[in-house]
Formats: sequence, structure tokens, C-alpha cells
Amino acid sequence: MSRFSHLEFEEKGTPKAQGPQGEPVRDERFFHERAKAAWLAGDFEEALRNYSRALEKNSAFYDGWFGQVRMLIELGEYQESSLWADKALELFPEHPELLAAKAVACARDADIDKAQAFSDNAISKRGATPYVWLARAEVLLLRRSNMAETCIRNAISLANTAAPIVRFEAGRLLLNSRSYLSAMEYLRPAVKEMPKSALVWYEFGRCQAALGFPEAEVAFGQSLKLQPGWAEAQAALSQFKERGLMGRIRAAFRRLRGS
Amino acid sequence: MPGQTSCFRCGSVLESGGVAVDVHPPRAARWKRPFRNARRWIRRHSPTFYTVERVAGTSSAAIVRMGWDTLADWVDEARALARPGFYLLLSIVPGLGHVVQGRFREVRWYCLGWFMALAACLLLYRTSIGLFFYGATIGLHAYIAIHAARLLRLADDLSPSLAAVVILMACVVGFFMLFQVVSFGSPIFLLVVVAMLSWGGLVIGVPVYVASRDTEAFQRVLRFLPRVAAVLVVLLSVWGLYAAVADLLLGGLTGGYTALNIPYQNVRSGDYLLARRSLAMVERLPRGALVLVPVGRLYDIGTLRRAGETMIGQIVGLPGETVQIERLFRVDSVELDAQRYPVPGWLSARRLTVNVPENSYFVSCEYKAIGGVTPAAVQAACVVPQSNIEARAFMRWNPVWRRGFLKETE
Repeated sequence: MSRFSHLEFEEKGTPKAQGPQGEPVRDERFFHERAKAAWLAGDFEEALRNYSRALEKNSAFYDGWFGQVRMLIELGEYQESSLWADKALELFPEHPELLAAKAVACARDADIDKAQAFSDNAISKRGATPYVWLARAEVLLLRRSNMAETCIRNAISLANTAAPIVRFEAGRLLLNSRSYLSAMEYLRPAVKEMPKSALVWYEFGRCQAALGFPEAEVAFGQSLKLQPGWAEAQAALSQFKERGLMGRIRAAFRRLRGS
Repeated sequence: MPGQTSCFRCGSVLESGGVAVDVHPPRAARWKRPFRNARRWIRRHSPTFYTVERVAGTSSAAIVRMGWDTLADWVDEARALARPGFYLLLSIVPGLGHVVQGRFREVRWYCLGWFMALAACLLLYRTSIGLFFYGATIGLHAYIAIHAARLLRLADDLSPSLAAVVILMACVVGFFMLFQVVSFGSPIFLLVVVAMLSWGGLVIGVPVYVASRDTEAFQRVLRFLPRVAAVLVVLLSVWGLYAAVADLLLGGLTGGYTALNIPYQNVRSGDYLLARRSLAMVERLPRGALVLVPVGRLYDIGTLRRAGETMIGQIVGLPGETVQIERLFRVDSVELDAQRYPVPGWLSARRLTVNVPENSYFVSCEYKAIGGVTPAAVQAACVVPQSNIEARAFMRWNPVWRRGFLKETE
């Protein structure tokens, strides 16, 4: 790392310094990008490792902390993610995104009251980001509130360049709350915007499979093409192929209920 | 500012400042996961007040109140899940589901239409127009029930909602007509069924094939098909409901066509008479009573009924009597009034004597003889055991302008 790397004039606009052979500098940004790519490929463990490496480079790197918390949530380790968010909050006190991440962790851990409290706290802070609104939407979806859609729209309106990711996240949370047709509205454009993401194709396939659309096979196939041997996608594909009469009837009722 | 390690406003760390910070998050042990999943499942499916945090430091009254609230939440949730079915059930009485929801205004014209169709159906029962109104009643009732349960957004798929009702009506009427015209298992029945299935396959298959080129349209079609299935299920349920109610309320009521001309009772060939089963359950029926009997095997009634079905005939001879046919009926040598007991055409040119056994009646019917009129054939066709008499007619039903109760002949 260059000795001037922390100077402000290098932060914006200036291309990163390249190594002698054109290799990228392995700083926190580099590992952050790798983590993001791993997340979009559905490899959450790898993403978590890369976020940790980013923090090894710079422990004051906020995206690294936030990414770690999110990956722990993705891995289903909600208590750990909550604990880690608390640690991150020591470094970044009252950060709305970390509070929102805690809300998501609590919501997924079926602790709705706590989730609501953290979400209320996060939304009351200045500078609410799309993630804060998405977390709010997730909590409200658990409460079966009609306001969730408004929160999702707020999140998308706040996301400028990150709109594809936010749309994808919105589709995912709607999918997890079993609002399949609404999820489809967000996942379909997400697939067009991020066609190289295995995770996006996988979630799109899950949504289509839940609704019984035969195109789910294509989506899972695309996901496996981008991330060969991905166990979740393989399992989902074989489950979809082997679905029986009851599965088809369930899908038909989902379409009916969603209509 | 140089040397500043944290934000002076929010306190966020700007520089690690050489302090060693553990950046590797704690991880959950694999063995803990099933237990956590189980706890999560319990939390998700149990009243939230059971959690230690909420109960601790709370009075017993508050706990009871929380329990009551949770129970109320559960009931609300269950109601939300069962709501379409609940409203569907309420719609057994058309419009009741809407009244409960405060949406009756949306279907008031449909309810009025249903009521009028029902009235017309009852008034014109057993006519082809009555059949149409029967189908319309069922179709409108099914539509009202579907609307109450919000199973169908007609505006999305079938823009004029009236068209949907007409389609439903047509389905029901068509189905009824099918059973009316041809009998089960006959080649014509099978042909019609195959034709209907092919038509249905084309109606569904062609749009699906065409729409499959456009994913959006294809998915719209896929969304539409379960709704069609739901509509059919509701339609068949309403049909079954009507059949059950009709059986319950009008179970003892039946009817049949007659081929006789009886001036005294103002009955003409082709009239449909209403009959009641209980009236036939008496020990001895009077002479002149019009009764519903199975058509004899040896003789074909021609265009009106086929062998094996029922028709209305007139009792001329009682058990133990002797019936003579010589242009007029003579019973035990007593001549009967031709206005009250007309001789059917196929017997008018014959001279025959028939002895009526005990527990049987001589029932005059207008048959079309196939193999010549012999005493044995007349005996077989006209002498009907009492057990074979299904019902006794009491009312001229069709045509409507001659509707009225039958006069007693004796």
C-alpha cells in the first residue's frame, strides 16, 4: 500500500494505483468487490471471508463490517450477526444500516417485537439508506402490514446506481414472505439487469418454481451454469423436476391467491 | 482533520489508530443450528407472551390480557386465512357474503337478477325457457359467490363481467341440455362429450400455444387457468347445492308427460303434469286418477317417451274388475263416460276384454303398437301392478296458459 493511500485526493475520481504488472492493489476495496461478487454468486462463506480480509486491511472500513453482518444473516447465524452488529455499532455508533441489520436479524429469528424496535430506531436516524427501508419492509411484511410496499418503493427511489441490487433485494424479501407474484415484479427486471449473478437467477427460479412456471428450470440451469455445482440450485432444480401433483396444485393455488 | 481518529459528530471510527481490532466474526457451531431452528419455529408458532422477556415483571392480569390479545390475533389470522372460504360459505344465500363485508352495493343488480331468474325458473319449470333460467340462476349464484370470495378479478381477464356470467350460464344450460337430450352411455352422449372436451382443449390449448411465444401473455394465461378451475368448482358446488335443496324441499314432487286427451280434465297430449309420490301411497287409487307409470316394454310410445321411462296414464280398471274395450271403456259391463275416460287411439278399433288382477290397475296409455295389438300385449302394457305406480298427478303444469289443478273424475 502506498504511503499516500489515505490522503483524501486519492479517494475520489482517481483510478487506483496498479501494481507493476497491472495487478489490482489488494486493499479493502479490492476485497470488498470480491466479497460482493461472491455474494452475488451465492457463496456467502466466501463473501464473509473476503469482508474479513477487507477489514484486516482496514478495520475502519464500514462496508466490511456491514457486509460481515449481512453475510452472517445470509448464513442463518442471526445471534452472531446481532452480536457482530453490536460490535460494529461500537465503531460506528447509531449507524442506521447496522441498526436495520439488527432488525433483520431479529425478524428472521422470529423476534418481531425487537425487530420492530430496531427498525423504528434505524428509520428515525438521519440519512436512511435503501437497506434501512428494505429492513423496514421486511419487518412490516412479517407483521402483514400493507405499508411494506411503500417502504420498498422508498428504498428503490433512494437507490441511484444501486437500484438493480435494491430491486433484487426487494424481490428476495417478498419471495421469502411468500408474496410470489409481487416478488416476480422485482426479480424479473433484476435478472435482466444482473444476468451474470447466479444468486439472482437462483432466486428468480425459486419464485417461478413456487408459482409452478416451467421456466424455473431455465433459471436454475442458468444459475448452475454461472456457479457450477452449487448445491442449493441443484437441490432446487431436482425438487422442481420431481414435484408431484400436490406440488402443482399448491403452485396453482399460489397463483390464485396472488392474483 | 489529520490525527482525528473518529468523527467529531457521530463518533464513527475514521482510523484504526493502530489499535488491534478483532475483525473475524463469531460463528455458530453446527450442532447449535437444529436447536436454534426449533426454538425459532416455536417462537413463530406460539403466543409471543410465553417468551421470558415479556412475562418477567408483568402482573398476572397483564399476562392474561396479553394472552387474550394473542388469542384474538390468532383468530384474526385464522379468519384472514379462511376468509375467502368463509365468504364463499356465506354466499349460500346470494349476497349475504357481500352484506357482511358491506359490499352489497357491488352485486345488488346481480342479486336482483338471481331472484328474478329463480322466480322465472320456478314458474317455467320443465320448459326449455325454464331450463335456461335454471342455468342462469346457478350461473348468477356462482358468480355472486366468487365475487364475495374475491376469487376472480373479472376486470383483468374477462373485461365485461356480464360476459362471464353468460358464459357460466351457457355452461350450465349446455350441460343440462346434454342430459336432457341424450342419456348416459349412449354413443351420442360419448360423441358430445368427446366433442366438448376437444372444444375445451382447443379453447385452452390454442391460446396457451399462441401466448407461449410471449412470456408475459403465457404467464397471464397460466394465472387465468386456476381461476377457471376455481370457477368450475364453485359452479359445480352451487349446482350440487341446488340439487340437494330441491331434493329436500321438493323431494316428493315429480312429474311426467302424457299422451292422452282427456276433455273433462282439460288434459291434452304432450302436457306435462306435476305428480306427488305420497298421493300414490294409498291403499286403493280411484278410477280416473292420472298416475305416473313406467312405459311398457312391448310398446313404444313413439316420439314422446322411450321404453323404460315413465309417463302419465289414467286408471280405468281397479283391482279385480274386468275391462272391456269397444270404442268405449266398459268396466264390469258398466259403460264409462268418454269425456272422462277416453279410449286411446291404438285401442279404439279393437274389441278386447282384460281382467285386472288383484293389486293391479288397468292404466290407459297412448302407445304406438309395434307388433300388432293382441290381448296379451294389451295385458302386458296396460295392467300395472300397484307397486309400479310411482306418483299421482295433481296439476297441469305445462303449458303455462292451461296450468291448474286436476278435477277428480269420481
